[in-house]
Amino acid sequence: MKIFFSQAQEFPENTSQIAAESYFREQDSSGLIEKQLNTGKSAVLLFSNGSPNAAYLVENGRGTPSSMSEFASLRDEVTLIRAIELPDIAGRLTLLALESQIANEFKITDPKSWTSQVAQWKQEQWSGLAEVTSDKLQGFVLFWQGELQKSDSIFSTADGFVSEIPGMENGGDFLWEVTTYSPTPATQGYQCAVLRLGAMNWSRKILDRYQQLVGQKLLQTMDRELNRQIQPWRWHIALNDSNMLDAHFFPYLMDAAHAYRALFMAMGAQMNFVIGGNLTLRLLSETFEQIHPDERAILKSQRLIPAAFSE
Amino acid sequence: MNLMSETSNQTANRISPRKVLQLCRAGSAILLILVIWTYYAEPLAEAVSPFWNDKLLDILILIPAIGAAIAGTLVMRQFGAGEQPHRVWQAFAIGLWFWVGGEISGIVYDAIYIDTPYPDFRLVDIFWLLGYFYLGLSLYYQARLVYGAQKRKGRLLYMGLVGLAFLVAAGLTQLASKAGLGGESAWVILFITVLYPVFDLTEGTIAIWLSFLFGRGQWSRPWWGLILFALADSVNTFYWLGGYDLIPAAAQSAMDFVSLAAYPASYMVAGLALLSNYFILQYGAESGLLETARKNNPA
Repeated sequence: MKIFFSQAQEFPENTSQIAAESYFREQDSSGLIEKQLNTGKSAVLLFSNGSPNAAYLVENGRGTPSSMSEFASLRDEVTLIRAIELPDIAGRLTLLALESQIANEFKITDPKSWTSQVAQWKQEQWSGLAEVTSDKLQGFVLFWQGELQKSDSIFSTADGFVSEIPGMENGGDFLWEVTTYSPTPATQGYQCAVLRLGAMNWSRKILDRYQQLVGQKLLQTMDRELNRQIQPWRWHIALNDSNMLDAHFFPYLMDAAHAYRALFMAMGAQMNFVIGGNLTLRLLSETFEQIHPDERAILKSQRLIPAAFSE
Repeated sequence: MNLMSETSNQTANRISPRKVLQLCRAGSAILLILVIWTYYAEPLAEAVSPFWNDKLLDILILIPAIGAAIAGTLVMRQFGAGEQPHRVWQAFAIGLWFWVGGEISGIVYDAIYIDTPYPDFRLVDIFWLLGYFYLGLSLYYQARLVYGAQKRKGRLLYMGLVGLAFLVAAGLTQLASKAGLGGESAWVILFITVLYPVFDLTEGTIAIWLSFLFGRGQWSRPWWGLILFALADSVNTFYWLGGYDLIPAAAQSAMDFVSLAAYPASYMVAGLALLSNYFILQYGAESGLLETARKNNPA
């Protein structure tokens, strides 16, 4: 039976669904409630920042969308209810896993094999999700166009959640079961992931170019100003130098697009003031052309385009 | 975080940058009025001598020139040596200091050669020409940053432009010499005299082009000073070419006024824009000068 993040600290044994739900709501936190069923299946309800957003039935590691009322009605066949609080990154990767198709399953026995596997994915420019499970850790790593995405990498360990695989250097605990998932393009999880990567890549190129024009100090001023402006929204997004670090779990594409729109608008307003409208448009357009076509397409679909953010 | 609150406290304890800028703007306006009044009313001409009235004008113009050069230096110092905008504003500041040198040496020459004609070639020309060179270099660095041209290709382009300006000036000198302009002056002196409007035209054009490119962006406003400078000089060139003979007296007076006001205003505009950029760089949003950006942002 599939158990997500088995090392993560659970709520008290046999916690009720209602108790877990009210905890997530009160704390505005992300997490999941897992109901293990006597049929060998399980059901998962995912929360993002205090709100329930998707329920799935899980069989042999594959998720099938279900309704929240169906999830709530599962009572008699439930053998165990498990609830865990998750960092947003873990929440969004779990959603992506549940909405994707299992592509491959294999074992990794030493760090070298993992390194060569990562190199092979890079060479193949593979995009997908890899789940790593062992006795001591379980987690997900997102690969996009062959690149391991550090912003989308999370593992549960006995010491809590970590963003990098522990023990790689000393070659300890190495009997990993790796499951790769092929995302389904029509799903919210996948579209959110591509939009997120597109927004992050575009903003990095914008900020890099802006820094070349105006220097480090004005870039940092802009970072501070944008961080201040988005603070009331309580998104887990922060700008640091040329990087936009998005650690928020947006379950729906519209919510993510709304956040990025606000961010790019604030960025555009600041740049319009400093370097003027024409140059801002030029900078946004040039950098927009440099990002991956898939990222560009999804940004366009949400009207996140250069002309929308320059005067 | 501590650093930020320290900066906030420092800003709170002193006059706000916005206030300083407003004071500087008011000071510039008063100074400009004073320049115009000194020129037309000639307060020292009768009381002391026309020479001292002229020197008073020079000194009044020297004040914004020094102010602009100091503001340029402050902006330049906001960047690390490896940062790309550093070289833009370094060249700009050096150019302005050379022009300050030109202004001062002009006053000194006037004092030395009070009763005798100036020598053919003067130190003041070196200052002015080096000023043009560095300001042009600054424009070139800025344009290269915007367009991302290759280093070697870009440098060749700039040197090519400078060479072209010299060639055009040489050609125009020949024409001017044949037309009898410049009187008894040696060819090289005539050449230098022609070089000024050629540089003015080149740099003014590039500055206008950059300003259009930047729109009303705060970053490009120091270039507006160069545009005004080119405007002031173009009137002088027009006069020197004998253009005044073709226009009525009223138009001549209007052009005199434009030239008189635009020349010190060029330093003032560049200086105030540089000072504003310095405050934004130094204090960021705390400067209160980014408010416009906040207001413009519906997010």
